Amino acid sequence: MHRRVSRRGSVIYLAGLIGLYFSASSLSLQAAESQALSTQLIAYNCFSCHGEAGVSKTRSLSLKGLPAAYLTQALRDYKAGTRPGTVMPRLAKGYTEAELLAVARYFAALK
Amino acid sequence: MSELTRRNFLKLAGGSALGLGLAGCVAELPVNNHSGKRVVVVGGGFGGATAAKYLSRFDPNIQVTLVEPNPQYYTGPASNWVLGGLRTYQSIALNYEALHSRHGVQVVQDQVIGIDPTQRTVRLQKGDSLPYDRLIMAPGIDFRWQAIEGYDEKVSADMPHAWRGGPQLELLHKQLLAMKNGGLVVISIPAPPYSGMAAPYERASLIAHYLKQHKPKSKILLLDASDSFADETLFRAGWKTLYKYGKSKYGSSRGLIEWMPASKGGTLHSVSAKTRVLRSAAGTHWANVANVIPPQQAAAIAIKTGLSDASGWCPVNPRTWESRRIPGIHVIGDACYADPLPKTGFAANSAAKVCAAAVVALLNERAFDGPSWVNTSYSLIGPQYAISNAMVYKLDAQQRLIAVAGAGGPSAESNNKQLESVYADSWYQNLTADAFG
Repeated sequence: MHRRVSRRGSVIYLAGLIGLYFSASSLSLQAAESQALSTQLIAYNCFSCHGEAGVSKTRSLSLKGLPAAYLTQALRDYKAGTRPGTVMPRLAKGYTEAELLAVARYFAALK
Repeated sequence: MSELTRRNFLKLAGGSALGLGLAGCVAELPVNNHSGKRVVVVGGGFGGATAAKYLSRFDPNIQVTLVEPNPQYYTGPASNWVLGGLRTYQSIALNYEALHSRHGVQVVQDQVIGIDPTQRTVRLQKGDSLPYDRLIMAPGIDFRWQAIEGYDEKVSADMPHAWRGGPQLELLHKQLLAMKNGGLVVISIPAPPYSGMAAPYERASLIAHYLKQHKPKSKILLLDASDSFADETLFRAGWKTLYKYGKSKYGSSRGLIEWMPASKGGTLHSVSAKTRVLRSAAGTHWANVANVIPPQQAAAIAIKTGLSDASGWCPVNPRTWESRRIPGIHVIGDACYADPLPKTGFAANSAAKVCAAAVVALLNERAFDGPSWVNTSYSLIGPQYAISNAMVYKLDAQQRLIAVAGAGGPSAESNNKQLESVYADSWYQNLTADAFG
C-alpha cells in the first residue's frame, strides 16, 4: 500500500520537477496525464469481457502481454471489417486509430 | 495499476531514463497529502460494486465504504437463464467478500434512510451516520406501484415481477414449474425506460425454451406498452427458428410466443390478483402464471434526496457522473438518466469506472478528460442461440454523452448464434468477476 502511494506521490512531484527543468507548461503535463487515464479507461472497459487486467477466466481471449503489433493489427482489421468476429468488429469502429494503438500498447505492457 | 500509470506517464513525459532518475530522488518524500478522503457508495449492484472496487484501485489511499442492505446480490443478467433451466438460482448470487478482502472496501450491511448534502453525511437505519467527501449513489430502480390498477407489492406475491433477483425470481420459477401443460403465461412489459435492455424478450424466449421441452401445449402472451423493442428483428427471427413464432394462414397467432404491442391493445391497465386476470385495451386475459413487470423510476432514496427530476430519473453530468441537482453526489447505474447509455449491468460497470476515475481526480485535484464507455448486452433466445448488442459512447463537443456514429449495434444477422451463446456465458463470468471479484 505504502509503495503504491509513494509511486503516485512521485508522479505528482515529478510533474513539478519536469516543469522546473524544462519549463513545460503544467497544461501539457496535465494533458499527458489525462491521455494516459483516458487509455486506461478504454482498457478497463475491455476487462469486462476479457478479464480483469486482461486475464480471462473463460473462452474470451486473455489480452495481457500479447504483442502490441498483433493487437494493433487485429484491432485495425476489426475496425476495417476485414477480420471476422462477433462483437469486436462493432466495438473497434468506436475508437480512433490512436486510441486502438494506445490500448494495444497498454495490454502488451501488462506483465 | 498505479505502476502502469506511472510508466505511461513517464513515456509521455518523454525519456524514461530521466524519469527513473527523478523518481529515485523523490521516493523518500512524504506523500500523504491526499490521505483520509472518504467516499461512500450506496448500493451494491454492478454500478456500486464496480465503483467501490475501482476507487480503491485508482487510489488506495481513499477510504471507501459500500452500504448495501443485503448480504448477497442476485444479478439481473442471467436471471432469465435460471427461468429457462440453464442455471441454478444460487449460481447468480454474488457477495461482497472480495471487495473487502482484496480491495479494502469497508462493507456496511445497512439501509440508507437519509442523506444530508450540506453536512455531507449518510444516515443509516441502524443509527450510524457516515461522513463523506464525495458520495456515489447506485441505488437502482423502484417500481411505480400506482401505475397499474390493482397491482402493488402485496399482489406481487401472487403475480411476481421477478425483476430484481432474490425471492421474486424464485417465486416465478416455482410457478412455471407448477403450471399445467397447456397453461397461459402472461408477461406484461412497461414502457421504457426500465432496467435491462432486452430483458423481457430474453425472458419470453427462455420461458418458451422451458415450455417447449416440458409443457408444449402452453403459450406465452407478451402484453407490451411499446410498439417496438431492442433487437426486435433478431428476436423475431430467433423465435421463428426455435418456437414457431408467427401467424397461421388464417391470421391467428401460432407457436409458443404471441407479442401484443401497444397499438394492438397490449398496454396493461389493471389486474385482479385473486382471479389472475390482466386487462388491456385488447381485452381480458386469464393467466395461469402472470409476470407483471411494472413501470419504473429511480430508487426511493434518490427521489427523496432530491436527485431526480420530473422524469423520475436522476440527471447527471456524464463526464463525472456528478448530479446536476446536488453537488458532491454522483449517481450511476439504473437510477440515473444517461440516455443513450442503456440501463444494463454492463453499462453501469462501465459508468462506474469513469465515475471512480473522476471522483479520484476531483479529490486529488488532478486532470481528468476523455472518458469513454462501452455497453455489451447478450440475450439468449435458446441455450445455444444468442444475440448481442454493443456500443461505444463518448462525449461530444458540448460534453453530451453520445453513441459513436458508425460503431456498435445489434449482431449481424449472419453472426454465428452458437458462438455468441458461448461468449454470452463468458461475458457473464468475466463481467461479474470484474465488478465483484
